[in-house]
Amino acid sequence: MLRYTIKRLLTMIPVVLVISIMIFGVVKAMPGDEVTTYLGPGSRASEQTRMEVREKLGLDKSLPEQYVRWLGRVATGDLGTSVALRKPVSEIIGSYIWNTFYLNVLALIIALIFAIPVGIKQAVKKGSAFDNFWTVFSLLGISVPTFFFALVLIFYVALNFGLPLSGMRDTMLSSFGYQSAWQEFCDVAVHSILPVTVLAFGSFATFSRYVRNSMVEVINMDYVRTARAKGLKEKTVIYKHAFKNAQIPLVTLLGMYIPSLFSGAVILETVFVWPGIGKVLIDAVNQRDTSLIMACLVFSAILMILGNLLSDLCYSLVDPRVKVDG
Amino acid sequence: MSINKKILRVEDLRVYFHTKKGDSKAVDGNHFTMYENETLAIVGESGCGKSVTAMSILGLVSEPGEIMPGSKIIYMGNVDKPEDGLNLATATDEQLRDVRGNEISMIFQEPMTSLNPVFTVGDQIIENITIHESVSKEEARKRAIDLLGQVGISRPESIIDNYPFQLSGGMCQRVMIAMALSCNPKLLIADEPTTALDVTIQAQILTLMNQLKEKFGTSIMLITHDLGVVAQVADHVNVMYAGKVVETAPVGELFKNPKHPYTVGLMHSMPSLATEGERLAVIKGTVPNPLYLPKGCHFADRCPHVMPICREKQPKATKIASRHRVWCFLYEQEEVVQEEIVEVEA
Amino acid sequence: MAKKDAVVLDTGEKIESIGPWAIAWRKFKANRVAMAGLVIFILIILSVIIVPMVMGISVSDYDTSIANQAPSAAHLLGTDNQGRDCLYRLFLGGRISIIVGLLAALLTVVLGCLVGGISGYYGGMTDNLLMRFSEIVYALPFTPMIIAVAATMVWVPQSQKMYTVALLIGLLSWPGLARLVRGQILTLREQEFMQACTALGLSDFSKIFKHLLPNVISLVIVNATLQMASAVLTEAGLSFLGMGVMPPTPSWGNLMNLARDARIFQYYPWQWMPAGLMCLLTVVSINLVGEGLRDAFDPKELQ
Repeated sequence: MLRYTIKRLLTMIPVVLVISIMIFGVVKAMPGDEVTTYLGPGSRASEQTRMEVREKLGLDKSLPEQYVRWLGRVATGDLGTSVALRKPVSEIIGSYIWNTFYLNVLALIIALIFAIPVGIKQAVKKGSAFDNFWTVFSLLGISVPTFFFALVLIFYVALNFGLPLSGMRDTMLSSFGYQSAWQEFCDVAVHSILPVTVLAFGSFATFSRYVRNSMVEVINMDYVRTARAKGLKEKTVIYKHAFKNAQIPLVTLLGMYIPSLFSGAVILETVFVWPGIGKVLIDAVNQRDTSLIMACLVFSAILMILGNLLSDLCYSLVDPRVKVDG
Repeated sequence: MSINKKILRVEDLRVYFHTKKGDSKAVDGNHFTMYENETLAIVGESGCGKSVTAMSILGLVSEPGEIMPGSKIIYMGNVDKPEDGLNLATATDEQLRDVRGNEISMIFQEPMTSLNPVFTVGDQIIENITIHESVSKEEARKRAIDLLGQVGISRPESIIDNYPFQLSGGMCQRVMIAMALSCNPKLLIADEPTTALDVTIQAQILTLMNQLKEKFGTSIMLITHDLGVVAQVADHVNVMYAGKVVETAPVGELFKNPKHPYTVGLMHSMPSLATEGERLAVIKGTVPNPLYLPKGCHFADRCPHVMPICREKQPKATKIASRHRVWCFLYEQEEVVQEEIVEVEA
Repeated sequence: MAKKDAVVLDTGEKIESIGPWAIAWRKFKANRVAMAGLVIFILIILSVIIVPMVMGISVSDYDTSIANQAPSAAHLLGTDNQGRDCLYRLFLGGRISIIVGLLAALLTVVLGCLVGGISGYYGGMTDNLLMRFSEIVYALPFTPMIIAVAATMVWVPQSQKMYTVALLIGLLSWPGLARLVRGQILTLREQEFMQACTALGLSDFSKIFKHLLPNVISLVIVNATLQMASAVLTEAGLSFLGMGVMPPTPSWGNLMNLARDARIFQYYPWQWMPAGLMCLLTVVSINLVGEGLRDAFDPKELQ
């Protein structure tokens, strides 16, 4: 298992390298000038200053050279500096990532708490009114544009019930400092209600469909009949014998999902002005903040590949028939 | 053999599957009796209702199937008042769960898929013991190892921690048998237990089942379409056709003196029983669709001796010899002693 | 193909011999939910084609004197900030969104089949390289990548943006399908009928496209449908962020983008809400059709 993991991690390296080259190319192809970003909009700096800034940012070198220098810095743990925010990229990512993670984890947990029992019950009562209702419900969940759902929630719920429309904290409170940790907790909790609802709705839809479909697959298997013939309670038959098999694909999906908890939902974070990685990325794109875009994109790609690895590992953990070997 | 106690009496068992096109009558008025210490074979073509009969004994018929009201499956093994018995067709879920895996257990056609792939075989046997008896896990495990040894698995103490996919089909079926016998059931229902196995393994499994029957005193209901298997292990045979038993007789008697035209047809279509050099006989036509069962004898359409009455009425039981009954108008007309089913049981 | 007659037994039982397509279609027809999805989808297609045509206005028409009017008899869905009819823009936008979805799905299918087919059929080094490549594309973060690439393509004229969006979605979506097709072909390749093709001396081209792909077609159709649903969603998201289809060309995404203006969002909801509802309805109907097709082609679900 360990050997397999190490081997997979090693094969990741060339893939990540190629991806970083592609991303580098895209970022450099973006119109606009980093020097302008650095000097700030409307700056009347002389040609002389501009040249100096160019040199300072390493923009006077050829593209391959710039890439190699970037790679060299990354290898030493330096992700570069955001020209717009004038802060090290690692510091920016390090602070915003937890906002994203918090949102995603909360939504995932809530989604799973509902999706698993609902999906199982749907499969047990396949074709019933209960099944049909939740099938339609989760179909809506995968079909609705997240931002549209968010807008509708803001329009009908937030505006009418006085929930905060956007952000993670109240501007007044956070700038003057919270009186207590409890106050801070409540503030963030109130701000989370809508974004978590939107995210959880989507995940619920995905997971409940998954649970239902894999339960439907196993529920008529011979071994479920055997379990009944043993005299087990129906609950044990369903939740132990059937679900233990149905959860194999589910756990695989979860493994894939976990790394993505760190990568931001760009659109959702934009709608709710949530200070997460997705928001950072879109701002960086709008401001041509090269180092920040590079770091965010490569980071997301690595998470994606890790997700694949983790899902394979999870698969071998829950299914005794699968043995990974080096 | 006739001094043996009855352990199961099935009367007028009807199992209908409610489909869009109407009721599919998988079992329609089936009836038979099982005695202690006896291997009863139920023979018939696929789709004749053998398996559904077996499933209904354990209450395992699932939607859209239904055991119709009025059906009686009286279990008289280990219940408080053996004379009255427990009607499994109307028993509560709890009563059924007490019987399943404990008093009556079952093994299935596909051993590889009948064991849960994500639990070790040991866990599955131990589970069967611990739900019916209050024993510690260690004790249950010891018993499981012992059982695996008894069903002829070598190195049971290591096999017990294997997953089903690590075992061959024959091994899996042995595990199933060990699991089925783990609570000393009175009745073991084996639904085509050897069909999915190699011929050499088939013989081993059948021999094993017979040995265990002697050892544990378990009655066996063997469901099969293979007359060879019947000849090898059964004491008594029920021949089923389109949802009901058409002839019942001790195995020797049946092979010597088959009465029902369908039984005769079956015998002739069997390679080893047909005379050498002769062409194998074929029963013309096909089994009637359970959606459209005829009013009279279900075999009438294919019967070489069909008479007008066969299409009008259902035949009654006719006694041919001791414990040999046939449901056919050919013999009713010959005025052999005729009696009601209830009298047969007496 | 000649239609074969049904055999009716005297018991009233009907036995018909039908091909796999007929079976699938029959199963699909019997699936009421899927049929409802199909009907809705067809209605949407027809309406986005016909409604803008019969209204007799042009995209460039505007009249600021009637800006931001609430729905009325003259303008069923009101007008936007330049006095343009919202109903007209809604259906015209639908046309654009659906075209983008279709093109993206088409491109995905073509690329997926091509890469998957070649990879699965030739195996070895080719397979290795192509699968590595698809792994790389697969790992690219979808939405951020499209946003970043879209930002580089400023030289595309605004009216052509919709094609860029479709192109980008297609270019990033194919790896999933390629893997499925490859897997399917790997199993098919081992079967006897492929040996028969070799024995007959058929060319590689005809072997892949005439004998292998038809066996993969049901998989592809289902995938293309679901792919289209997700492409419509992606377009909406991109245009909502202002990185997809650009005004004055309307699309459901950029109509919803109007909601980012707080005043429009709160006081003129008729300018953005119908687009969201139509988009939702379209994606639901496509998904229903896709799932209906999947069940219909599934050999496990007989009747």
